[in-house]
Amino acid sequence: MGLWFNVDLSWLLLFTGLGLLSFFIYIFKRKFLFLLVGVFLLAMSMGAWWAEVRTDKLNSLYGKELSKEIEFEARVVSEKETRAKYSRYVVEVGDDRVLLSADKGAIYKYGDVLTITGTLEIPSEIDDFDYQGYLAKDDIYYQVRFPQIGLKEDSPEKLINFAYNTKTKIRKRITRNFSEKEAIFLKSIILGDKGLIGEEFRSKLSRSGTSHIVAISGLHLSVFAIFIFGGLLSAGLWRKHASVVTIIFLILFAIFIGFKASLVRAVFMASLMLISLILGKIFQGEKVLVYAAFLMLVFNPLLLRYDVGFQMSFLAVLGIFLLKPIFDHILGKKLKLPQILSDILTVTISAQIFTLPIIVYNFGTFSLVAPVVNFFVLLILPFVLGLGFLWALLAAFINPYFLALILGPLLRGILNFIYWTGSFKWSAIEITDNISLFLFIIYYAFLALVIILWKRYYKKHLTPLALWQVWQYEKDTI
Amino acid sequence: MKKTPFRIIISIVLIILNFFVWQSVFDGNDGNGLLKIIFLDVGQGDSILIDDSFGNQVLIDGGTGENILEKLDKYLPFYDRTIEMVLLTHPDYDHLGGLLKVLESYSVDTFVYSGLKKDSNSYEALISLLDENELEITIAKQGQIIELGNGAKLHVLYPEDSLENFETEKFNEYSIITKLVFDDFEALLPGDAGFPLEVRLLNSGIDLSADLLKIGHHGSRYSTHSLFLMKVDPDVAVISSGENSFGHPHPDVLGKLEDILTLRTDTEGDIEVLTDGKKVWIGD
Repeated sequence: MGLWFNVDLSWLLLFTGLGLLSFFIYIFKRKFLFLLVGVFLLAMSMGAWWAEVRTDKLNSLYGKELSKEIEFEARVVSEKETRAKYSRYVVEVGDDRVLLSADKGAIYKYGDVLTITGTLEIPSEIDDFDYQGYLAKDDIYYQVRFPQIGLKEDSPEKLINFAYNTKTKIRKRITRNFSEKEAIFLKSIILGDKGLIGEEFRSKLSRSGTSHIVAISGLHLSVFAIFIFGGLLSAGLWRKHASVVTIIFLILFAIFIGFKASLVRAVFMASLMLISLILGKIFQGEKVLVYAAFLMLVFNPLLLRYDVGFQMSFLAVLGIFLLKPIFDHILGKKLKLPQILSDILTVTISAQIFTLPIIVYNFGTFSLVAPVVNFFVLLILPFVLGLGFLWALLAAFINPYFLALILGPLLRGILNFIYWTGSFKWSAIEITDNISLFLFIIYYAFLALVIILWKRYYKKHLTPLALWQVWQYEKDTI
Repeated sequence: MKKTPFRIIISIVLIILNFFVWQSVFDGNDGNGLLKIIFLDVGQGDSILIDDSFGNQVLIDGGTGENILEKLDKYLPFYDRTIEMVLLTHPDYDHLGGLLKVLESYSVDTFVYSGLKKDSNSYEALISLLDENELEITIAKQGQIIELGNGAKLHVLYPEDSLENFETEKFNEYSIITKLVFDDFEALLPGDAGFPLEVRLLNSGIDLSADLLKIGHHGSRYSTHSLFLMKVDPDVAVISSGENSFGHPHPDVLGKLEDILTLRTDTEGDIEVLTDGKKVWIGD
């Protein structure tokens, strides 16, 4: 025990004991505070215990054969991830997952069985970055760098192969029809290819506070879902049927993109929301969010600690659920903006406030221009995404040149805007010092206080995320 | 009420689109009939873009490929994703590397090369790209003339015959050499030719005279023989080079060019030459 978390067993027992104790006190005294503390402590110790057990179970196979060249068979379980100088795959050996670095030109697809001759290594630490933990969240405990690779068996996965071939076709069309920067941008927002994003663009994204737009996530999915849902409704389907079909499409979309963590999360959330719509329950965003997070952590507890994407999107959405109503109340009356515009503004600010400590801790860059930049980018991005999905769909069959003529300038416009706003000295503050846990706690405690006080005063029911309001609206009117 | 923001957004989108459309009109792809030759600053390497102002481009070499797409993006309007002809003078990496990217990101109608084979990864990649894409492949030889839309012509001066089955390790000395002729204006583009190839050209009796000479082999001391320079007798010389460990351009060469207007991509960046066939303008 204790390989990844270094949790002392006695602490774990102490927490479990204290948790049980306050739980019992609650049973006798019926004080809500004791229930809260009990559930919190039990959840914490159970989570840590589960993380340990799961890690130990998975991390058992190849231990003895390290630092010696061995030959083994492995199945590719990821898509090719192209980096500047090499390509990466995740392969599975029995139950173990191994990170494979190969030549840039190497082309394998999901499900291929490879014969690999090389040396298994435990991922090394890069500077102060916990690379081991970072990979462990994806169940990867070994890596093998530039081994000899032979293709033993072509992938039998028909659906995934079809998706792969289609994507390859779309990628080639994108490269051919858009300028270099636009192509990289478009590939990242509609196909989730992030490896090609260069240092300069990455820094501009981070300084302008728009890094989130190049990771396929809820934002992209909601555009996709609204298209389909809206399309089905206008085609005359019942709401319930449309929801079911939309969920199927969302899952197909996730398969098509290749199960990126952020996307799976978003599909999961969206499906829960759609299901609650089918069941006719009034949808309460923050509860659905907590259920989703709970279920995902049961499957993989390491996400909580090592997946920045998980932390960010969970906090961002939570922030939107909890803070947006406050800003709606404060800004809504004064600004007199149309609903869509003020929604974009309040969504951006809420998400940024809630994710601020995580961003500063992980990236050391705090964007000052983010609310303004996001306001404009989010205004136009849904159109670009919609056009992009449509273009990609057509590009699987023909070359939609005229659509590219509209899409190209829009992409360029967004890119120029991001480059421009990320280029000022005052666009962002670089924070090099580590921030202490104490500040973290103070920050969120303060936020919690504000939210609780506000809820006391206004006792309003919180409105869900702006983009999902379409559905809420549907529900209210019928 | 619900429709107002939607209308605003559509208007914004249209205004932005309008801006881009007009911008590309002012970008200069306006069919004025002028010939533009741009020696692209692609670092240590060669890349020359020829534009006839009617939307036709010829690209000669592509540098190593670090920034070729960025450069093309700068000089081609966004809707023009076709380069009519790409010519590879010889298969060295500082000429070939960038063409790999160009062949992936642009539609190319015709690809011209000498047929010389090289045992290198980049050459293999080129061949597989050529196989994959449906484009016309031409093996260059003397006498071929490529016509541009405004009447400019690119004459192939060397090699005399197809080099398809020829084997050599001295690729520079078997560069494709072309002369761009537009009315009274002539530009000689000798690839990486060194003394041996220059001597062969001098002996062949071909008319080498030109108003503009791209200096051979990035200004190497083993290129641009005084006799060759005398024969060409240019008014303008262009050296395409970047940071390198070979000492290009060499002081000897720069010395020979003292009396000629000499432009260098390593100090001046992209060099744009514009001509109507009589007068020549350099720079913007």
